[in-house]
Amino acid sequence: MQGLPALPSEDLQELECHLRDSVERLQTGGLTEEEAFWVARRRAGDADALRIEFGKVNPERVWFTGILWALAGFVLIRTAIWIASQSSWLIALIAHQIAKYGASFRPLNGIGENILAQAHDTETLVVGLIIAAVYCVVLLGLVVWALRPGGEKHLRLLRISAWMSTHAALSAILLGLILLAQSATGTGLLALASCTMTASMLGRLVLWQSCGQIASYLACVFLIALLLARYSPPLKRV
Amino acid sequence: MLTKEMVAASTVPLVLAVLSEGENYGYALIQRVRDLSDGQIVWTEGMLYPVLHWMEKEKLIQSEWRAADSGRKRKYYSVRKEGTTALGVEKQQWTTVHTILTKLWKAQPNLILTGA
Repeated sequence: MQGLPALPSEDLQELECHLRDSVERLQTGGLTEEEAFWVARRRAGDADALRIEFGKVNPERVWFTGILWALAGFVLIRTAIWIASQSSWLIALIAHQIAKYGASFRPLNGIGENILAQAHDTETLVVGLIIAAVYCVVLLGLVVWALRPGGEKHLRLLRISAWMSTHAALSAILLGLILLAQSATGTGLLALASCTMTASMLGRLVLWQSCGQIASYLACVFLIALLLARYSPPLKRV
Repeated sequence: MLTKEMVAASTVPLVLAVLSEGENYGYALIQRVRDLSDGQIVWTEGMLYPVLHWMEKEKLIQSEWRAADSGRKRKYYSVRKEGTTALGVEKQQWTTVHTILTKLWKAQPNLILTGA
């Protein structure tokens, strides 16, 4: 019964009560508690069937579960990007410090600094846009698929939300790896650019970037907490 | 056993009729209908509770959590005024169909299946 996040706690309590009644009745018929529990559970049907039946009364709950997972995926991806970008800035800062101490030998000082900075920005932008576009197309495709006429719409929505949960984790890991690899190669160029950047410029950049990211991150976490509190209160084990 | 269509059509009037005997909880409703139908109608919880919740939404019935004699909390359902009215309409319609069918089958006794 723990696997029924689409149900409100009151419905779960009612089902739990029903299960206990069934177990009691079966036990008076001579079954052991364990046997009675298995029979009662079998009669109740599997979690998916129950979720679909209950989902018919509360279709908005199915949507909320889907939105919840989409948001969770977004936060995971944002976190991966944030960690990757922070680590690259950190490496750049360290490289800058090293370069400052080795100031006596800087043959590349000032040469092509703007081009390097621009190249890095364009690259980030292009990669970001491609990822966003792929994401939008996939999501749009899923919505069209889910809402196509005929068949069991709820079942399709449930499949999407289940797919989202695995997809969110997988895509976050994948994106994290891509960004780490990207930042590792980008860091060399960035470190070079940072040699000609003042420490305060770098500091300001890092500060504003972090502020924006933390704000969007917190907003998402808050929204998820709100949805969780509203629709999936902690469940007791039956 | 009833067909899917028959179950869909009869669930609401059956729930209303059982609840008009007095308030009751889901598990007992299933048992009551099973006993009355000699095991012909056995509802599952996956089917009954969504119907009960829908009927509550439609204001036909109301529910209340209360502790039973055993001390366990149960959700008791009872009929509202709108439910009683709806039951009256259902009763009239089912009686009409029943009367017609009975008349027809009396005139054509060969239609009644034997050994079914």
